[in-house]
Amino acid sequence: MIDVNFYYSRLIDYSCNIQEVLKELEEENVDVVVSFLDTIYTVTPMETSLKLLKEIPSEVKYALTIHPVEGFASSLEDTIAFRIFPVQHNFHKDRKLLEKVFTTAEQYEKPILITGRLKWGEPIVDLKLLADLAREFPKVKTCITGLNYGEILDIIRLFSDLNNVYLDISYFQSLNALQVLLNYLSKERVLFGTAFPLQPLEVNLLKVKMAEKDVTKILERNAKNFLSL
Amino acid sequence: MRAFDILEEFKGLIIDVHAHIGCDQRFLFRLSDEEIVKVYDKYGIAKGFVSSISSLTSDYKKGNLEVLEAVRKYPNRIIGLVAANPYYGEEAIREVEKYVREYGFRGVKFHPFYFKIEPSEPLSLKLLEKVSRLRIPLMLHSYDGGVEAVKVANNLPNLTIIAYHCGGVRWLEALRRFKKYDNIYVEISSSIADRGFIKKAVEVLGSERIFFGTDVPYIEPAVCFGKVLEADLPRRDYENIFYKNAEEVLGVKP
Repeated sequence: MIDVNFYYSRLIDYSCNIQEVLKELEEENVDVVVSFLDTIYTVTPMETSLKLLKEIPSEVKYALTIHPVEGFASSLEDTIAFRIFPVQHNFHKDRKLLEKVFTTAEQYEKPILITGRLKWGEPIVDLKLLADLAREFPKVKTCITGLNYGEILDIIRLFSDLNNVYLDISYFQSLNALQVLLNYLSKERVLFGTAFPLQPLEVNLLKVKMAEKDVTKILERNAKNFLSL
Repeated sequence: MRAFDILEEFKGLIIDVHAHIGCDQRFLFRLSDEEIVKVYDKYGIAKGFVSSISSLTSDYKKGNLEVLEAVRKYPNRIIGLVAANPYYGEEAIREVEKYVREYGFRGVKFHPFYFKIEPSEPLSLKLLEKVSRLRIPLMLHSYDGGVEAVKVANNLPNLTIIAYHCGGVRWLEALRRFKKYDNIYVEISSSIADRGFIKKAVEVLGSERIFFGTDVPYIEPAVCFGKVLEADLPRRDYENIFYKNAEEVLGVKP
């Protein structure tokens, strides 16, 4: 499986020995795409991503944080996906700025990891606006991370027919969460995620382990499709 | 992962102090008594304290009857929790008394959000005084950092209060608030699975005041187990959380 909602951070509450965590995940046959959490606090998130990138093992896949106002560096070619934090960077309701992100993703042919919810109790992204943009940019694949069961009706209404919108399971916490998403969204568009280090790895590893059917192959295949691997 | 071995060790012993049967269309949930027992079998949960979603959201009489049926069908797996909206006054008090005395229900579920009233308001306290006299615990939905649980504890010092969700997003604030109240316990279920939550709860309250709960169908048990297992606690603390506290405080054996 590939964890698409994994963050590296040096923030005091979330710092960890990344080598150890990656080893632990490897033992569970989990590969990761690393995003950079600390970029939510900077005005130059891409620059910060590039600095933090030097601290993770070179073979690990990563998603640079982009911000439509910061501009885009030449190193965009090497990132496997873009990560955006629309709420934390305060452009979640700004259609023009979001459009700019989608346009860039289309140009570079990169999928976008959109942090839908980061911390509990904080606002989430505007799902209707994201659905509109996904419809406008059918070639751009997006994964909205961190949605929960409270959003299930919106998920069905807005995303069930949008083949370019994926969701991850990290914060989807209701009973049989995985099966619910596979049934109501699509078997092709559900991805594995842990939301580490905000949440323990155990939560989502156990969700998969305890799922009714062996879903690891489905989750693996979906992540490969999303990331064009 | 080592954490999962711990789960294996406790299979068949675990007591879930927070669960529901019924339907909630807002989230497409539907869980029957038969299905909850299947969930329990899968996770090695011996038994659970169950209330009906209907008794909280629409009709408590109908919901309590659903639970009574479930208890009769699965007496070794389902323990009844009665719910009654305090706005119904004497009728609600009689409902609680009937289910405790006649049907052996073991606790009262109170949900301020659905009942549209805080538990510390006079109308609620009238009902909760009865709960205290009946010597059964109050299972209080607590998503406010524990503010209301403490108010109730100040009014009813002999009432055992189990703060479901441990204050919600404001769990740390709740833990600190609960520290000096020996009659307030916490239950750990909720979507919020912040790293370090359980370890902190043990540090502040001690494992003797923490109950394991799932809140099915709102929460997948994997979420609740995941956060408890992450804490990497000594075996004694796991025993307390998974079943010993339920034995000692609630009088229920696995």
